[in-house]
Amino acid sequence: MAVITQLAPGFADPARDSQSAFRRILDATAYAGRIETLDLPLAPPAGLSIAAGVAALTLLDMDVDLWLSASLRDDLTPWLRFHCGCPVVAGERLDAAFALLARGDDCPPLDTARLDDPERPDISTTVIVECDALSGGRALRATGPGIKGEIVISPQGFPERLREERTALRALLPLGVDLFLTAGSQIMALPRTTRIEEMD
Amino acid sequence: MTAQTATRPMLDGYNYAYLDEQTKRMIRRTMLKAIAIPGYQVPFGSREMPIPYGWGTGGMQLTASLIGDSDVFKCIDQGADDTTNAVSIRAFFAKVAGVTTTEDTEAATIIQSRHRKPEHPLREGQIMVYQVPQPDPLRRFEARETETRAMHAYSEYALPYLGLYEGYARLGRASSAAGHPVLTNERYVMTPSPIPSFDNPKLHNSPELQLFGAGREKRIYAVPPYTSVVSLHLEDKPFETQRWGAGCELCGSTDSYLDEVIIDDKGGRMFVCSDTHYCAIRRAERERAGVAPAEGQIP
Amino acid sequence: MAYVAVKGGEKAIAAAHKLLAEARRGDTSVPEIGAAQIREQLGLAVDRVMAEGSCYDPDLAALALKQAWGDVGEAIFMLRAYRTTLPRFAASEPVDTTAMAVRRRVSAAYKDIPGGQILGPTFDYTHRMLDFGLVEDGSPVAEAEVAEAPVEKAVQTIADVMAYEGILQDEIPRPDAPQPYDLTRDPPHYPAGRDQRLQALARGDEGFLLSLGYSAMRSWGGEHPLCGEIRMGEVEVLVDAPEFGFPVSIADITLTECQMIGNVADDGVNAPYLTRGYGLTFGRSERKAMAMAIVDRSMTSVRQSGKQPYGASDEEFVLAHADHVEASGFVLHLKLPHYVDFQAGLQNLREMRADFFRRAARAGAEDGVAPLAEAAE
Repeated sequence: MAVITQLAPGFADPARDSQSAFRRILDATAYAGRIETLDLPLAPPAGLSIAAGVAALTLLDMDVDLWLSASLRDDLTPWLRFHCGCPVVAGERLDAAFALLARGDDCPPLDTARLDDPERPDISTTVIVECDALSGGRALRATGPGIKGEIVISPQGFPERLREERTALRALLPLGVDLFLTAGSQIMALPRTTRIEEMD
Repeated sequence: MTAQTATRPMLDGYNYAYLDEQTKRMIRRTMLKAIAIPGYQVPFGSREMPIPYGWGTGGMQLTASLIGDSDVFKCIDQGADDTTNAVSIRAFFAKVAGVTTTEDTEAATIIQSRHRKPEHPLREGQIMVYQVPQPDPLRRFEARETETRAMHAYSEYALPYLGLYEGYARLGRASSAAGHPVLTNERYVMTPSPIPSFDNPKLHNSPELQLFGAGREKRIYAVPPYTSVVSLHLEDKPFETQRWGAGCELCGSTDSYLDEVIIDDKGGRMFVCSDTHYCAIRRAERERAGVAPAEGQIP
Repeated sequence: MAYVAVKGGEKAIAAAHKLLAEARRGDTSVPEIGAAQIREQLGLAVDRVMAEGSCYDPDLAALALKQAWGDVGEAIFMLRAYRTTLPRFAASEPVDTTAMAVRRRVSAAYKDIPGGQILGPTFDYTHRMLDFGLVEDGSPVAEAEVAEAPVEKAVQTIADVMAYEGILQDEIPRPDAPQPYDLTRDPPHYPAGRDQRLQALARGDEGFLLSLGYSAMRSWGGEHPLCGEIRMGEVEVLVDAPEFGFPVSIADITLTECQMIGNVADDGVNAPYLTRGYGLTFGRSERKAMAMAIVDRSMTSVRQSGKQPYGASDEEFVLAHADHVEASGFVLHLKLPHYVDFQAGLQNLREMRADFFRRAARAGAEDGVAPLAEAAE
C-alpha cells in the first residue's frame, strides 16, 4: 500500500478546479457525443488518464461507491481513498454508483448496473470507460437528445461488447447505463438516451 | 444594461458560492442523471438556503453548484430583472461567489428565472435554470407521491389528459394558463414550471441546457439541448397560447408576453412587455431609428 | 400620471432592511435585549428553536430569536440555514437516556416507580394568573430549596420496569441495522422507515404535531395513549475516537424524552403486549415530545392494523407537511409576484366571460330580452 508521502496530489484549488471540470463534464453530457477537454494539471496513478482522474475527483466522494476494474485496484485505491473517500467495491456485478474500467480490463455485464427499479431510473451505474483515443476510430452515427440532428463519433478502443450491450439496453429505456469515454485529457459522454449506429 | 462586476470580496467564513463541496458534488451528480433521463424528477438532498423554501432555493442550489469565476449571471422573476426576489437572489450570488451579474440575456451564461423564459432565443453554452414550486405535474390530480411515482414509472398518464378534457368540457378551453404540462423526449410528462403557456414552445428543441430545480420538494429535472418538448393536447384541440389585441405600449412589440399594469383608480390599464430587458432593448433601438416613443411613455 | 418603466426594486429592498432593523429595536429609550438574556430567560423559546433548527446551540438559537424579532419560525429558519454551512466531521454514538442526569421525571402509568415522581421545573401545577410583579425589573428571584437526598444516579426507565413482566413492546436495535436515515442529507422516501419518521417528527413543527396528536386522541386516525414516562435532564454526547480506543464525551446536552404506551397488540402468535410511541427533543420541549410520541404511535399502529391511514396515521400526509421551514416558505411565497400567471388566468377568464355574454345576448335576442351588460374591455 502506498505511503501518504508518495500519493499523487489531487486538485490544487479543489473548489475552483472541480467547478471548471464539472462544467466541461456537464457540457459533454448535455451535448452528447462531443469531445470536451479536461486539461487540469493532474497526474493520476495507475496509468489512469487525466480525464478519468479529473472526473473521479470531481464526482466521487464518501456518499457514492465505485466499482474499480482489476488492474486499477491496487494502485488507484489509496489515491481515491485519500482524495475522495469513496468506498471501492469489486465483484461480478456493477452494483455501485460509479464504475471505472481501465483499458484491456474486464467489466461485468451492463445489465447488472442497478437497473431493477422502474421508479428509480436515476440510480443506475455511471461507467467511465478508458479508451485509446476519442477520435480516429471507426465512424459511428450518434443521435438523440443533446444532438442537433446527428453527430459522428469515432472512439478507438471502446470495447465492442460494451457498445452492443448498451444498444441492447435501449429496450429498458428510460432505465439505462450512462457512459463517459475518456482518453488522455479528453472526455465524451454517451448518456443512455444516445443512439449509436453503424454508418451506412 | 451592461454587466456589473461585483467588487466586494467573497464572504468570510463561507465556501465559494455558499454550499459546501460535498453538497455541490451531490447536486452535480444529480444534474448529470437528470440530463440522461429528460423530464424525470430526480430526488436530491436539498439543503436549507438563506432564502425560504418556495422562494427559489432549488434554482439557487443549481446555480450555486454550476457557477464559477468566468460566469455571467442573470436572474429574473416574472420576466423582470428588477422584481424584489430577483434582486435578492442576484445580490446573493454577487456576495457569495463574487460573480459578474448582468441584465443582458445575450451576455449571460447562467440565467435563473421564476415563471418566464426570456423572449430572446438562447444559444449553445448558455444554461437556463428554472425555479419550480411543484415539480410533479400529476400532483394536482393525485396528492400521494407513492402513487404518482408509479404513474411516471409505467407511463400511466390518463390523469393529465383527463384534466385537459374536463377543462374543455367545463370551461371550453384548457384550464391551465400557466404550467401547462408537456411531454418530454416522448416519455415523461413534465411541468415546465409555472411559465405561461405562451412560453411553452420556447422549451422545444432549444440549443441551451434547461435545468429545473424544486428545493422544497427536493427534485431536479432537465431538458437537454435539442430535445422534444410537446405541450399536452387533445387530438381535436390544438395547444393554444395567450394573445393580446395590441402590442406593448412602450416598445410596440407584438411578439412578447405582456403584463397588465393598472394606471389609475378608474380601471384604466396598459399592457407592457413582461421581459423588461427585451423591452428596453427594443425601446433603445426605436429611439436610435428615430421612432417616436409610444403614447403614455416618458422616455 | 403616465406609466414609467421605473427600476426601484433594489432600493426598495435596502430601505426595507433598514426599516426592519429599526422596528426590531423598537423604542430606544428601552434597554436593548441581549442574546444572553434571551438564552437564560426565554429558554423554552430557545429550546424550540434548537429542536426544530436541528442544531443544539443555545447561544446561536438565542441570537436567532433576537435577530428574528421574536418570531420563532424565522429563528428556526435562520438556525437551519446556518447549520447547512457547518461541516460534518463525525457522528456520535446514540445517546443513552437511561443514563440521563434526570431533573424531571414523571409517569402516569404507576402511582410510584423507582426513583420517584420528580416534578422538576414545570408549569404543570401553576395557576395561570398573570403575575404583575414580573413587569418591573428587579423582582426577587425565587430560590428553590435543596432536597434532603439527591436524585438517583441512573433513574430506571418505564421500559425497564415493564421488562420484568415483559409486557411492553421490545425495541431492541438489531446488530446488523443499517445507518439511520438522514433527512438533512437525503430527500424523504415513502414508505418511510421508523428512523426517517422519528427524525421528521423531531424536526417537525410543534403546532402541527400538537394538533395531530390531539386529533389522534379524539380518534381521528389514532388512539388515546397513556403517558408511560417523561424525563428531562442532561445526557452525554459520545464520539468514537480511534486514536484513544474509547469514546470521548464532547458535550452534555439537555433532552426531553417521552414514552407513550399505546393499545394492546395481539398478533395471535406472541403473547399480547403493550405498544409504544416515542418522542425526543432538544431542551425542555415537553409538549413537543409528547405530541411526537402520540403521532409516532399513530403512524406505526396503522401499519400493524392495516386500516386505511388518515390524519395522524397517514404517514405521507404527516411527514410531507410537518416541517415548519418548508410549510412557512411555501405559504409565504404567495406574497411573491405572480402577475404573469395571473395575467394568463385573466385572459382565460375574460374569454370565458365574453363567451357567456355572447350566449346570453343570443338567448336574450331570441326571447326579446335586453342583453346583460358586459364589463368594459
